[in-house]
Amino acid sequence: MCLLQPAQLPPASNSKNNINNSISYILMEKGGQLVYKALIVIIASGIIVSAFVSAGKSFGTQEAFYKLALAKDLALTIDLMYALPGDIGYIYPNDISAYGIEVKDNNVKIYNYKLGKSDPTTAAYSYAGISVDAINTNINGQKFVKLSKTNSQIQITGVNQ
Amino acid sequence: MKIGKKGIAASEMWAPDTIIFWLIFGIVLGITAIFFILIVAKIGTNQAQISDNIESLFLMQRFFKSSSCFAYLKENVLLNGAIDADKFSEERLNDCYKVNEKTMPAFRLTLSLDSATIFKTIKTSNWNDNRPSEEKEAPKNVIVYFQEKPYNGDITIEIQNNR
Repeated sequence: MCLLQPAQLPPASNSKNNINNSISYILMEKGGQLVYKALIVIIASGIIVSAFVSAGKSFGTQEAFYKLALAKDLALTIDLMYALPGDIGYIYPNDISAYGIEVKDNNVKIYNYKLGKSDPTTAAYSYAGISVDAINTNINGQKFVKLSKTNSQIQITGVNQ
Repeated sequence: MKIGKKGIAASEMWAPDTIIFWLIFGIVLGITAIFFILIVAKIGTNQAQISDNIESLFLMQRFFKSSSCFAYLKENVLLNGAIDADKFSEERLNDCYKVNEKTMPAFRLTLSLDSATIFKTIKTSNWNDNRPSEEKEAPKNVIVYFQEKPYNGDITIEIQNNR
C-alpha cells in the first residue's frame, strides 16, 4: 500500500533526512488514527456489554419486575387520589431507598438509584392526570414516598420515616 | 498461511472499520436486544400484573367523586355520587382525565335523565371511534342535578383499552 500520495511527496530538492522525517510523521499520524479507532470500538463495546450485563442482572434478581410493580403501584395510587374527594396524605409503605423516582408528564419512572436515569431496565407506567395539576417530582435515595393531595394538587416527596 | 487476492479483498470488505460492518453489527445487536426484552417481558409480565380491571375501576371513580369532574357541589359540600349535569361536557371530561398515551383506558359516558330533557354522550380524548367498546357497564342510576334541581338519571360507561 502506498503511504504517500503524489501531492504529499516532498519536493525533489529535499534532502534524504527530510524525506525520512515526512514518512515517519505520516506513519505516526496513521498510527494515531488506528489507536483512536480502537479506543472508540473498545468504549462502544464496553457500553453495550455493560448494558446487557446490567439488564441481565436486573431481570435475574427480579429487580426489574419490582421496579415495574412500584411504578404501577404509584401510578394507581395517583389515579385513586385524583378520584377521592377532599384532601389526603399517604405514605407508600415499601422501602424505595435503592431506587430513584421521577414523576413527570403523567408518567411514573423507577430506576436504579446507582445507575441513574441511564438504567437500561427503567420501569415506567402512565397515570391519568388533571389539567389543573402537573406533578413534577424527582426523588432519590429516600426510604419512603409521601403522596399528599391538597385542593386537587398532588405533592410527592421523599421521607425517611 | 496463503491468502489469495480474492481472499484479501473479501476480508477487507468485512474489516471492522467499514461502514457495512457497523451497519450489520448494529442491526444484529438491535434484533438481539429486542428478542432479549420480548422474551424476558413475556416470562415476567405476570409478576407485576394488575389483577382484573382494577385500573379502569379506579379511573372511573373520579367521574362520580371528584369535583374536578362531574360530582355535584352543594354549598361547597360534595355530594358523593351525585352528578352535576351542567358540568357534563367533553371539555370538562378531558380536563379531569388528561392522558398522554393512547394505550390508557378510554371512556365514553352517556348521561340520560328520566325526564328525557337530557341525553348526552361524551368521550375521552383517547377514545377511538373506529373501534367498538371492549366493555359496557350496566346503566348506573344516579341523582343528577340540572340547573340546581335534582332528577333521577342514568349514566352508562363504555371502555376501550380495558386494564
